[in-house]
Amino acid sequence: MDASTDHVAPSGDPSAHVAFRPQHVSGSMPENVEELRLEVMRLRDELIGCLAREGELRARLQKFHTGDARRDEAMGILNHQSVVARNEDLEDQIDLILNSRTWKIGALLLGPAKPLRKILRKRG
Amino acid sequence: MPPRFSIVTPVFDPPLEAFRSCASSVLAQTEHDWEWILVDDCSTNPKVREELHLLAASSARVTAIERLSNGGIVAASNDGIARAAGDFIVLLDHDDELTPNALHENSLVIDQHPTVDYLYSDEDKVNEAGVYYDSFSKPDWSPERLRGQNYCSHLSVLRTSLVREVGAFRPGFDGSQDYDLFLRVTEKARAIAHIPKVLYHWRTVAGSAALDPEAKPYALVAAQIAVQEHLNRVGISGTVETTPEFYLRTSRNLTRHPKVSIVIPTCGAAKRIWGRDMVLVETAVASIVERSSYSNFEIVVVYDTPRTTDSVLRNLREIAGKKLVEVPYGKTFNFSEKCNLGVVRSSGDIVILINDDTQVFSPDWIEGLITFFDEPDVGMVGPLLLLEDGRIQSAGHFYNLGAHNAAFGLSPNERGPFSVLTMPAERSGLTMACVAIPRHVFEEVGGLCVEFPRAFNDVDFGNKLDARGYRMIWTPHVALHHFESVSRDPSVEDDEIQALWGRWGSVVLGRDRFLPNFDFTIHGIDTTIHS
Repeated sequence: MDASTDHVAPSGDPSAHVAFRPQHVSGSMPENVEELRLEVMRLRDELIGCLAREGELRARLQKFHTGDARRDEAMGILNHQSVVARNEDLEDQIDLILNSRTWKIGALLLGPAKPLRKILRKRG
Repeated sequence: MPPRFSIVTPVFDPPLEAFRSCASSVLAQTEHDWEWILVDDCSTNPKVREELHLLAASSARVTAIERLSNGGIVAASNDGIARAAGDFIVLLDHDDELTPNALHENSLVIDQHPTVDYLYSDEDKVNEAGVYYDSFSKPDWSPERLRGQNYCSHLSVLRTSLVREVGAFRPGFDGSQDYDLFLRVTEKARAIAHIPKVLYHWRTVAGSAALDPEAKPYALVAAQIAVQEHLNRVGISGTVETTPEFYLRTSRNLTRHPKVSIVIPTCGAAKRIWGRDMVLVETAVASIVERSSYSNFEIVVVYDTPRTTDSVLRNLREIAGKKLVEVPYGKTFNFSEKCNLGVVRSSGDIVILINDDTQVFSPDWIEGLITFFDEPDVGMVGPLLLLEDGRIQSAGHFYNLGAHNAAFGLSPNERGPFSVLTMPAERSGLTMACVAIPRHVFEEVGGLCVEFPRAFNDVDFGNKLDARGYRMIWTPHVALHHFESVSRDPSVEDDEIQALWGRWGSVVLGRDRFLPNFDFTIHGIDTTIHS
């Protein structure tokens, strides 16, 4: 009898062994692999998205520190405390991204691609 | 201590007034760390030599060399390079002008990026009345475009040691000797910088190449040889031809025959096109099967259930036969997710994402897209897309206060500023209505972002490729019809706009790197980019 298929001994037999198909292989393999591949793609996308959002936030911070801040100061509407708070809020957002699980997992996934890209660039 | 810059100017019978303007522009530089080497190539006008002697006598930084025989621009320029003591060679023609800040701007970039080996900047022309015009806002480093035209041209600043390493100017390339040198230098340069400022005024006089490229037909032949040799050196298999527009076209050879997966998301919609009712996906698939000269492909149709009817599926099986891979999709519409699913279910080394509202008409459309992937840093290639009425739907994306389809609504014969629409070149992004992508690249960047179910998925994808260092190439040598958005609602959701701004807002709102002088009010307006 195929051990991987459901089978039940005759009822009343205390020594009966019931073998159930393990849940994690109950679906067809191709579908699982497909779902995993989609999930890996989604994580990679999310990591690149996190990096992009971090870059955007940094760019906005920089812009704030230069042009915007000077303009606000000149207009006499600069509130030092609100500026500091806004600044810290943006820094917090960056920290959140950098410390997120997605970031770390994604970094692991994308890590091996980096040396390969370097080699390809050198050869190219 | 040697100077930073050695300006090299071969001189042969220049108009004296123009030469004096040239000299004034050098002497007026705000940056002082330079020497100027003038090489007289046996000018027949004795006043030229007098001018050179006067200049050399007036400043220790000016050196005048007199050749004993006329050797042409290559020999004269090489004499100047041989005498150069500076770290960088600055090429200046005897009747052109530098802007006062030309060397200073280059110096700033070199200070900031010490490994830069080649710098080029924007230029304009100056006519005999002293009027400046025809300003050329150049793309950032665009190697594919350089294979079509010498867009770098003036002002070029090259690291002296590298110029000497590659053997300086080569005899036999007169008229395109600088083009040939730029190709050889950029092949080895550690870093290449574009300064997006006009630092050079190219003088136009009757009979000059600045005014009329046909004035020096031998220059085009030399350019053709220079680019052909460049291809050979960098390992691109192809043939360079000249075009009627006096540029160059590289016909790349197909060096391998990878399996191509053509992924088409669809809902099985029908539409009236060219006065005929048609089921879009059936027509698209039929055009691929009937017209493609490339045979190693599969067609992966990701279809909405239950909307796509059985009769459509039956027809697709009949049209595509064994090449068809059917992928049902039963969720709420999400273009990105459908494409990702199609790619995961496909098996080709190269993926072509194509909308169902397209039609192929060039038999070699697959070859024309995939041959670019012989270069490992090319991440995506897209064709010229035409509307139902034959006008341009997209010549790639450009950013200018938003993301736009370049040349939208223009004639397919439109050449664009400095003929940019006539040749393959880098783009900031491409319309997902038809793009070819190596599978490993698609997977590396995580496919299409599902946060963009309807719009901007292509803008986001292009930026992801760019962030990973991949180039995107648009080619006018492959054209497809794209009956834009006839298969679905073209509206854009606020969520998608916010998501795009969150990821790439400063990029999309900033200056475009490859079509910097494109204005959406002139070069096509289409503010709702979607596939």
